[in-house]
This record gives sequence, structure tokens and C-alpha cells, in this order.
Amino acid sequence: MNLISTGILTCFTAGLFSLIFLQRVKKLQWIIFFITALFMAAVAYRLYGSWQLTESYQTGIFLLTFHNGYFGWIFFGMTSIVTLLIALFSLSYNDKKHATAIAPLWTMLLGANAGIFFAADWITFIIAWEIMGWTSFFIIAHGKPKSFKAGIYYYSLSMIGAVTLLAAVFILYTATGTMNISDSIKALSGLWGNRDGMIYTVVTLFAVTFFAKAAIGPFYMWPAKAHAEAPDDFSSFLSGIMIKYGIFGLLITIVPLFRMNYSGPVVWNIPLALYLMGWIGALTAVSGTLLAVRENDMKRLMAFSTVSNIGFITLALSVNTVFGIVAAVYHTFNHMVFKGTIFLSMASVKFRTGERDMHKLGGIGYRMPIAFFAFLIGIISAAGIPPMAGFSSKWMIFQSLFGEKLLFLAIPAFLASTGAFLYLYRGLHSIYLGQLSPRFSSIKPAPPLQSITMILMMLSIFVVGAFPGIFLTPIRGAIAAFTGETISAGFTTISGVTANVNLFMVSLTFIGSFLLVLFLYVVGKKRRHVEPLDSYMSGEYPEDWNMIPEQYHYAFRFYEPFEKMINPTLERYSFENWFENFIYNTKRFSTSLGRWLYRQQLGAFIVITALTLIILTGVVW
Amino acid sequence: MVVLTSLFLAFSAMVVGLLFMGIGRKVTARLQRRYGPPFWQSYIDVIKCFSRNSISHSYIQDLGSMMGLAGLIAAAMFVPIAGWLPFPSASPIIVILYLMPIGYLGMAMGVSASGNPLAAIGIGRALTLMLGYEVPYAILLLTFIASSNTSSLAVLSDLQTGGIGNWFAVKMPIGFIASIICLQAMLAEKPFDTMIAPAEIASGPMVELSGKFLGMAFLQHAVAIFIETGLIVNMYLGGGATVLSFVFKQFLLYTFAMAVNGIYGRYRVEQAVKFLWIFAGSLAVIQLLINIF
Amino acid sequence: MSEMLTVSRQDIMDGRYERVLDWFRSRSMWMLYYCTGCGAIELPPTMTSRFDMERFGIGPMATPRQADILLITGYISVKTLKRVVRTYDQMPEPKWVVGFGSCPINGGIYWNSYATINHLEKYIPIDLSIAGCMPRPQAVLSGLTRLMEQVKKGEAVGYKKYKMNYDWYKKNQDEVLYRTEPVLGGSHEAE
Repeated sequence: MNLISTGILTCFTAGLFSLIFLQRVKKLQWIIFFITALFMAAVAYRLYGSWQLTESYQTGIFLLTFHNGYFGWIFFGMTSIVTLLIALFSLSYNDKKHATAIAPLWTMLLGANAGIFFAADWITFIIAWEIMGWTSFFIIAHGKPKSFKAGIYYYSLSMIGAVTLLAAVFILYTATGTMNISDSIKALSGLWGNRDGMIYTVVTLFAVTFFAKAAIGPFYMWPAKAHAEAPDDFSSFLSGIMIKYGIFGLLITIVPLFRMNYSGPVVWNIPLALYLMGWIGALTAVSGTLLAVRENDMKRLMAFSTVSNIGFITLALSVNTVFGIVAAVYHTFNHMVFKGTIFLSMASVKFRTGERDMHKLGGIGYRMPIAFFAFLIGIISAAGIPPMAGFSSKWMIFQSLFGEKLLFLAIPAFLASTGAFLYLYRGLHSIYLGQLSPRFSSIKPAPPLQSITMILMMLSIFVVGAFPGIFLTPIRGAIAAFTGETISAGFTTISGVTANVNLFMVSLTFIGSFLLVLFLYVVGKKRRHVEPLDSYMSGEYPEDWNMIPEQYHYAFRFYEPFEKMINPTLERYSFENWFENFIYNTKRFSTSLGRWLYRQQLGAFIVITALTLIILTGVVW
Repeated sequence: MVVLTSLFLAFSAMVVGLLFMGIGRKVTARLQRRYGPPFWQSYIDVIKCFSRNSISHSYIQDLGSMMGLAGLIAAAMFVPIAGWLPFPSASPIIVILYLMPIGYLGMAMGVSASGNPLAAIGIGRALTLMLGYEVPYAILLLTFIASSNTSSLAVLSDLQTGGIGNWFAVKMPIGFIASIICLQAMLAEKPFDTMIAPAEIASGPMVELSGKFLGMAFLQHAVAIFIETGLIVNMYLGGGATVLSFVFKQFLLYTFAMAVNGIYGRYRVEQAVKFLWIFAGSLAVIQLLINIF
Repeated sequence: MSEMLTVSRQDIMDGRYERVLDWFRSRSMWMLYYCTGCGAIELPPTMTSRFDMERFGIGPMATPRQADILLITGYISVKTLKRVVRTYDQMPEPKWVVGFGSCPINGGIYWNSYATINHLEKYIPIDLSIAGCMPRPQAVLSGLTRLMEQVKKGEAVGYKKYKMNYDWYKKNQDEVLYRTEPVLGGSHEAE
């Protein structure tokens, strides 16, 4: 049974079919998308267990191979489930008013998704990677001028990544003679000590590809542009799933390469290159955090938060232990769920209000309680606060750092982790709390399908927070199949190097404390409800001053004192400014060179120089 | 049984915290040459708060206030008192440091739901200040991982048994000074009380809290005092052989903080963050370097 | 319109269980100063080391939500009355009002001014007045201890009186407040 190729082909056929025949009936396109997502989830379910399944096809000169490994499967399974939930959300989101034409392309993207995770040789991987690149470009651009600009930015970075990927694979093939992904990496690692220069070249090229996809290091700018301009439901997919392809790429190339036969320089017991990667990850986490703190656009804010989290994952990958890899994959999955939840909640808000700037919103939580709770649970998880899921993976990342005594790398990680409270609270306050603008005083709660999706995701965050084994057990199995080693962890306990913690107990403690406080609350005298505008204003009546609730909503430049502090640093070390300066200076240099060449004096100068040279040559002769 | 011991710890944390608050007010009064309120004044205040009617702007405010106190109580369950815990756990510092924010987040959520801009300003300042003290505090945590390879409070206090010479306050004095500075900021006492600032932003987060909500905020502060001083007693001051000596050490720390509070003015929030990063942060880094090499 | 209801204080006094809580209330009274008139200068000595009212559990608070006592010092102008009423409305019950100085009692030296009101108790219920122009800190403290005793006995029931006679108070307030509406264009025309 050729399940993998059937699945991928179904995606492409369904996508092409709905692209060509269903242009007019958008609703049907979305239904087809949902059915395809459901089908892919079913494929993932069927594929579980058959780890020997390999499918290969000779097409022209290429041999396309798919292999169902536990490691690829776990990524595929996780992405399929999250995609299915997002698809359910999209069904409701794309009504008459909000429908976009991206469903067919997204359907095809699901095929590319499976292709990336199941590719066994580099040709398949590159083809899937390319399809993923251009479908997502068209989705981000989706026919709006501003989106098109963001799409171009995204696509240029993708192109850089694609070129370096091709170059890396080319070098890899000439050096090892095999196209199989795991074999070629294994063969390459056999060359450590012999041809280090070549290996480092390959590593750098791969790093550029996957860093560009995952927005690590100097590529941290694209998520903010692309997430903000992409369709709202797609932002969730972009941030939850697509950005993780880069992490997956790092996991199958660079990470195993440094685990086998490495004999180069080491810093604190880890390879120098990985140590550098760790610092890149840490600085990405910090810069993502600081940029998010001063952001006013809610989707851009969360995009920078994604960058920060990807930095964390990179940090864990660079530790080069099994514990670190498990922590990284675990955080990847947790991030998939909680960032998906956050983006879906914001999509719901935008669905009802049409606003993206946070200072124009406010008080939405009083009208859309489910969206509010989804966002709340999501940010508690994102901030790494128990009893939600995000805590356990962040804890494991810190423990992996402590285990290898990478204490200096932990400092920026702590800074980024604490900074997360700042921007996450800003989102919560500015969108959902504070004063409700009269423009939105009559908005309805999120539609049923959207609510169901958000409730499911909330529940999963909460349950995984109490029972981390739900994610950790399969991840440990997959990592054991991938690296041959495993770590110890219980179903409710996450172990660490410096201490263990029973998360179920933590959850119970919190729930118990909450019940105690509820008792105190009930004992206290009764409360009276008052309107939001009836608050302390030094005894003034706001209507006397023509003040409306919006003007009492403190959201714009929320952290102004802090911004003042960090702005000079951020402006000095901004890669975007650096890129812009580079382009500007190149342009200036070439223009001035051109001007200079066109000058009349230059002709005379050249003639005189030439004459002098000739005469001098003659004299010397 | 576990439930009973947990309840006992929760109430004792509140009782001890409120007692400290009362004594702290007395200390401040004496510094200002006043007679001051009786030391049980805080208990009266809390009971009075619960006996008053209250107002609430939305259900989120109720929920947030409850979450605020619950998070802090949950964090208190992991602080060993003279080696005693309500239920067995490794009492890792990171869990405590990350459980306390759920309390602060709940509080922040509750007061933001009141819709008063002053409350939001106060919370913004509080979170900025948090960024200021959490980073040096985390570095202090790293110093323990560098020297004793543990982040468990119980283990740390066990390591210091047997006389003052074994205390980490004596072994790592630089880190201890940094932790005292951080404590001042965590307790939000002067010079780091920019988020309360009654004359400026009308007591910031508490601006719309009335009746039982204010009472819960008081209890939250009391539990926070208990946890924050308890952390430092366990980390640096040997943890205490008996409950009494443990509470006495906490009391000394808190009295010192209140004495500093009585004589200093107030930093602006960015000044406070800079102060914490530069002074507490560099002291902590020096301690970390000493411990590593 | 509606007349002031006449009830005996015994009828609206706090019940037996409420009186237990009243003891706590009397020992911890938080005060909000409304000092737009004169007289604020008498409060710092009352608070600081010479007289130290914190030993009775009385302390300053920042907002009406937190406060038990609304202390109104000096004269109330027609325009500030609006703010006083709003502040009073914002305080959760139980709440008490202390008039400070002669002006809230009978207008004092501003008795025949067009810009001030003469009898504050016509607009909000006053539980205790401290007479004098100005009352000195000793008088303030003696007044506050008197209020403490009243609260302890459950006799300070001004807020209940206000609720029962809300129409009467509202009518009096409106009579004054219409005068504060801007004549030459203001918020109402601007819309």
C-alpha cells in the first residue's frame, strides 16, 4: 500500500482540482481543504507502526523515495493534527465576507508538508521544499499590494535558502556519492578530521537554508512581515507549523553530523560550531523578545514571539545531547499548539472586529469569552508558567543547558523568558482587557466552529501541562529511533539534571489553591457590578470632557520607559538596518563609480596616464 | 493528610506574611519617630476588607484576583520551611520562580479588566521591574548550579547545615548582596516601589480594588513576602534548624528591607531596571565567575 | 417632591452579627481626603509623628474604592460638589463621611457666596462634623475617635440613610448641579 505517495498525490490533485474548477465556489474549496486535512490525519494514523515502509518511484532521471521513519512520522502526525484543527477553524473563518482564495494552494501545501517529513533522498526533499516555498509565497501574497511586498521579502529569503540548499546538496553528493539523506550525512560524518573545510562549508550552507526558514539569527525579520500580512488563519499555520521546517532540517542535517565522529575544537564540551549556533539562538531569543515588547500590531507581536521561541529551540539543539534534542522537539510541539491557539484567537478577534492594531481594540474579552480564554491559556503556556504545557518544555531546555554547564547561554535565555511576560501581557491587556470601545460594544462571540477549535486546543494545552508524557513518550521513542539513545522521564514527571518535578502535582497544587481562594472569595461580602467607565478618575465625569472609553484604554506605547531604554541598542544592532545600509551603500558606490567613469576629466586622465606609462616604459626600455 | 498539611502551610504563610507586614509598619513608624499601629493591624485590615462590599467591572476581574492569590499559594507549597514540606517534592527554584508569575499574571489580568488606565500603567511598570530583578536572580540561581549542581531548595538548605560557616551567605557574600538587592525589588519596597506610587498613579494596580479584592491583594502580598524571604533564607541563610529560627531569619530579612524602605526615595522604572541590571547583575555575574573558575 | 423619611436610628442600626465586624471596621479606617478647599494643612501634623493617627489604624488611601471614610475639608464650591457626589457614589459600603471645618456645616465665612454650598448634609449624609475654622489636629483626632466609637456601636449609618432617601438627596443635588452646566458652549454643545 503506497500510503505516503497516495496522500501526497491526493493533496496535489485536490488542490489543482479546486484551483481550476472551483474558482467561483469558495465555500467548496474550503470544504475540500478540510477533507484533505482530515485525510492526511487519517494517513498519519494508518502510518503509525509501519516503520519499514519505503516507497520509491523512477520519474525521468530522478529516483523519488519516501520513507516512513518514526522521527519523520512524529512531526507529520503532530502537524496533521494541528492542521486539521486549523482547517476546522478555517471552515468557519472563510465566510462570505472574509473568504480568501488560498484554499487550493494550502491544500497543495499539505502535500509538500508530508513530502518534507517523509523524504528519504535529497531530490524529493528539495522538490517538496520548493513546492512549500512557492505555495506559501502565493498564500502570503494573496492579491493585496501590501501583502505582496511582504511575500516578496519572504520569497527572497526562501530563494537564498533554496540556492544554498542546492549548493549544499551538490557538495554533499560529490563528497559522499549518495543521495539518501541519512546515508549521506553518515558518510559525511566519516570525513571529520580529513576534510573539515568541506564539512564546514556544507554546514554553513545548510545553516543558511534552515536559519532562513526558521527565522534564526540575521533572518529574524521575515516572520513579522509575513505573519502580519498573511491571511489570519494561515498565520496560525505559518507560525505553528511552517517555521518548524527549519528546525526539522537542522535536526536531520547539522545535529546528527556533530554527534557522529566529531573531532574538532570544543567549547564547554560541545563543538565550537554548535556553541556559536547556541549563541545565535540565544541572541535570536533576546532580540525577538525585545522587538515584540515594542510592537503595537498584534500579529507582528506574536510573530516576534515566535522568533523568540525558535531561538529557544535552537539553543536546546545546540546543546548536542539527547536531552537537549528531546527538549527542542518537545518545545517545537508545544509551540505548535500554543502559538496556533494564540493566532486562532486573534484571528477570531479580527474576524469580528477587522482591527489588527492593538490600541484600537480593547475589552474584547468581555464580549468574546472563549477567544479570551484561548488567548489566556495560550500565553500562560507561552510564558512558560505552570500548570500549562509550555512550562515543561522550557524547563527541559533550561535543564539541558544546566546539564552541560552552559551557564552563560542560560543568562540570555532567562532574559528572553522573563521578557516574554512583558509582551504577552501587553497582548492580553491591549486586545482583551481594558476599556471596550463603543465601536465594538455589540460584537458577538466567536462562531461555534471557531469556539470548538479553540476549546479543543485549550484543553490539550491544559492536559499536556499536567501529563507531559502525552507528548514526551512518543518523542522519546522517536528520538531513540533517530539517535539510538533515550532519556528517562515518567508520564507525569519531567526529569532534569538539577531537580525533578512532578507536573501533575504542580497542577493539583494550583487547582487546590484555587479552590481555597474560591472559598475565601465566597466568604467575603458580595460584589456589585459596575460599568467599566465608572472607575476612579479623580472624581471627574468622563462625559464632561467628551471622553469615550477608547481614550481611557492605555495601550499605545505601553512600555514606553522600557522602550526608551532599549531603543538605542536595538537600532544600533538591527540587521534590517544593516541590510538596508548594505543595499544603499552598494547603490551609492555603483552610482558614483558610474558617474566617475563618465567624467571628461577621466578620459584626459586615462590618456595622460597611458602616455606617461608608454613613455616611462620606453625610457626604461 | 496531604490536603491538611497543605492547608496548614497556606494559612501559616498568610499569617506569617501578615505578621511581617504589621511589624514592618511598626518599624517604619519608629523610623519616622511615630508610635505606629499595633503589630496585629494587618490582620484587622484584611478582615475588614473581607467584611466590606466590593465592586467589580467584569467576571475577569473576579477570576484574575482569585488566580492571583492561588498562584502565590501554590508557589508557597514548594518552599521548604526548615526542611519541612507539605508534600514531598524537590522544591526546585525554577518552579517557584515560574509559579509566582501566574499569581502576578492573574493579578494583572484582574486589574486590567477594571479598565482603569492607572492600573495598566502600574502593571506595565511592575512587569518592567520584574525583567529587572528576574535576570540577576536567575544568574544567582546559576551560581548554585555551578557550585553545587542543584536547583532544589531543599538540597541547598541541607548543604548549609552545621553552623554559620557553612552558610552560602558567608561562602558567597557577593551573591548574597545581589540577592538582597533583588529582594528589595521583588518586595516592591522603596526605592523600587514605582508600580505602587500612590501619589503619582493612585496606587497603580490596586486603584480599582475594593473590599474582598483588596483583601486578596493584601493576602497575596503577604504570601509573596513569605515566599521571597523564604527563598533567600533557604538559599543563603542555612534554611533554619527549627521553624522558629526559619521565621526569625525571614523576619530579619524583611525588617532590613523595611528599614531601607523607610529611608529611600523612589526610582523611576527605567532607572530601577538599569540599577538592578548594572549593580545586582554585575555582582551576580562576578559570583558566577568565581563559582565557575 | 419626596420628603425626608424619618426613622429612628435604632431601626437602621447594624445587627448583632454585623457588630462583630464593626469592631474590625472601627479599628481599621482608611481615609480619602477631599481637600479642594482649605484645611488640608491640618492633616500632615495629624498623620506624622506629633499626633500619629496610624496608631488607631487610620491611614490615607489613594482612591475611593479602597477608602472607608471620605474626609471633606473646607468649603465645597458648586462645581466641586459634583465630584464629591461621584466620589461618594464610587465608595463601596459601608462608608462614612466626615465634614471638616465650619464650611461643610453651615457655609462658614462663605455663607453668602454664590459659588459655594452651605449645608453639605443636604447632598450627602454626614456621619460626623468637626467644627472649627480651622479645627486643630487635636480636634481632628478627637473627632475621629468619636467616629470609631460610633462605628463600633454600629451607629454610623449615614450610608443607609442615603440609600433610603436617595430621591431627596438626588433632588437637592440636581438643584445645585444644573447651575454647573456650561452656559457658553461646553461639552453638551460640542457634540
